[in-house]
Amino acid sequence: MSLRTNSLFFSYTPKNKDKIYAIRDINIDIPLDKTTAIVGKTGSGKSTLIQTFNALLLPTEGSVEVANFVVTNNRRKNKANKDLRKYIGIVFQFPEYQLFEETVLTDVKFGPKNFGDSDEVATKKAKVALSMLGIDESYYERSPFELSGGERRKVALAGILAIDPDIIIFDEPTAGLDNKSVDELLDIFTNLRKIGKTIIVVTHDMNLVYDFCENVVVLENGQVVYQGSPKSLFSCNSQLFSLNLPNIVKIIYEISKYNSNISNSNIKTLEEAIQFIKEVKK
Amino acid sequence: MNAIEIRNLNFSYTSDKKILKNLSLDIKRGSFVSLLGNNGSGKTTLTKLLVGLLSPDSGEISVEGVLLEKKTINEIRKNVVIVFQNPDNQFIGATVEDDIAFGLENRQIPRDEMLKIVSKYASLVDMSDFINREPSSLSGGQKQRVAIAGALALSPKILILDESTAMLDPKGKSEIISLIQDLRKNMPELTIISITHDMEEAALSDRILYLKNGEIVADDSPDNLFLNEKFVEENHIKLPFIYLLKKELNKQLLSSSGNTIEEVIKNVFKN
Ligand SMILES: Nc1ncnc2c1ncn2[C@@H]1O[C@H](COP(=O)(O)OP(=O)(O)OP(=O)(O)O)[C@@H](O)[C@H]1O
Ligand SMILES: Nc1ncnc2c1ncn2[C@@H]1O[C@H](COP(=O)(O)OP(=O)(O)OP(=O)(O)O)[C@@H](O)[C@H]1O
Ligand SMILES: [Mg+2]
Ligand SMILES: [Mg+2]
Repeated sequence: MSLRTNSLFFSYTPKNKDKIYAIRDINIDIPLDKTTAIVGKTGSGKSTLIQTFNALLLPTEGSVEVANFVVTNNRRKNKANKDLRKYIGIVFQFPEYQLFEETVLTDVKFGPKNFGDSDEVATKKAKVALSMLGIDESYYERSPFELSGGERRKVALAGILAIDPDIIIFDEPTAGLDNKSVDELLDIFTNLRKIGKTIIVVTHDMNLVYDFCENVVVLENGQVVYQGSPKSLFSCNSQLFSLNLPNIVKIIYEISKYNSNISNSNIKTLEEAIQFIKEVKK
Repeated sequence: MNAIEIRNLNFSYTSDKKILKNLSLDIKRGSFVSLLGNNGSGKTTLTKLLVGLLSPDSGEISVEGVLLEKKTINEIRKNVVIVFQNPDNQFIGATVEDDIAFGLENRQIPRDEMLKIVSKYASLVDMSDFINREPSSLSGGQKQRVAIAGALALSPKILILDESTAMLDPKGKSEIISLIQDLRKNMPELTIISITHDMEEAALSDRILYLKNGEIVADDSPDNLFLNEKFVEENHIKLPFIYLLKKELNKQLLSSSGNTIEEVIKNVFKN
């Protein structure tokens, strides 16, 4: 099972004669049993790409295929959009784009209700999702626009989790969250994976990519320049794409200057790297 | 000389919750201060109080020696510029150019000079190619760059960055940080307050303030704060990597000296 794009192009100004494509000729295959990161510089097309996945943006050319959905620029063929958006949920880069109801609780309830749940069921789902994000009852009746930046992101995250999509796409989900909340979000990710959900995450955090994802897509100027495992990306190619190295990769590189055996080891954490040093120094 | 003096500041949005409790604080002119604290701890609120977007329940604020009151608000807003968390909230212009120019228009700067300033700051943040674009049509990181340019163009005495680099790619982040370092070299009087959850960024500042339950619970150099194991653990702070590396080496009784990863590893193998 995978999500595939076929010669996918998207332009925000398709009618201009010198149209600029935000993404060009994208052919990727995202396995649904893996966690995928989408990375790349500012403006490389990450947010644009993911929005074609659930037809929030329709391809200018080409298509996206996932399960039995096909997204093309032919509106009539895309009748199943509502089902598609139940199947794939996106948490936006800026929570402000997603929040619009008068209170936190009605905002988070909106998704499940929109997809057919009764008020009672939707309320229950909303409360469960909010509590996962550490947003307690005292927030339910407050306006989402009178929250702190991080609180607002948590409500936006809860809004998508409450819909319970099979594939969840997070666009820079950790931006604005405090250190503790980031760890809590990673725990939520781990649980989502355990119950069989697919996670796709757009991020600038290479530690998150390396430590948490099994697959990574690198975009540059709207095109895919790498697709594969984080390990092989950072072992050879990342400088080419001006990505930062994950901390653990930096350490392994430095240690390899003194003992090259580390490059062939399977070391994944700082603790393991330090154990390695201890052994070598014995 | 202090850029900011805060005395016994109290603030709450609603009667049931105090956001700031009798807060007193001085910030030296020319310093680079990080303001840290968990989500909802009151960081953004404090910055809004500083420019009179909110008014305190009690207490006093002085900025560059001027007491904040109704009649001094405009003067103070000339000195203090905030780059807000979500850049969309501060875009006013129809194009990137208009937007960066907007604040300057209020200052009666002649148009040709204004355009020069605009193009200078657009190029400093690497957004020259986007000058005619509508700000709302930019990517997240591009928006943040424009918002930073708009703030810098006003040449404030105090620049407040409220998570202004959260959406930038790592290279963009370090570009903005070195841009700010350069500015400080040229303008030793420029005071910078940076609100961030990124400890690598906080480690670069002169001083860290940690806000919790309405009070400043730590006020220290990055080094002292990150080496205070109890505080770090209690507040679930994710150490900058170099501190984490040294701490773990220390635990294993290995040498842990040096200022970069390269140096530290070199020293481990040498000693
Ligand atoms: N609504 C829009 N109209 C016109 N151009 C747009 C629009 N939204 C984005 N773009 C442009 O398309 C390109 C890709 O933008 P996108 O938002 O996909 O980038 P991104 O990789 O998500 O960047 P970031 O990391 O900064 O969020 C950028 O050059 C951007 O300026
Ligand atoms: N307009 C408002 N009305 C009522 N309460 C508010 C309003 N704005 C913020 N608050 C509350 O005040 C507290 C402090 O908010 P503030 O935005 O200052 O936090 P912050 O430290 O900037 O957090 P973050 O790191 O999430 O941005 C939060 O609990 C928030 O819910
Ligand atoms: Mg984006
Ligand atoms: Mg804030």
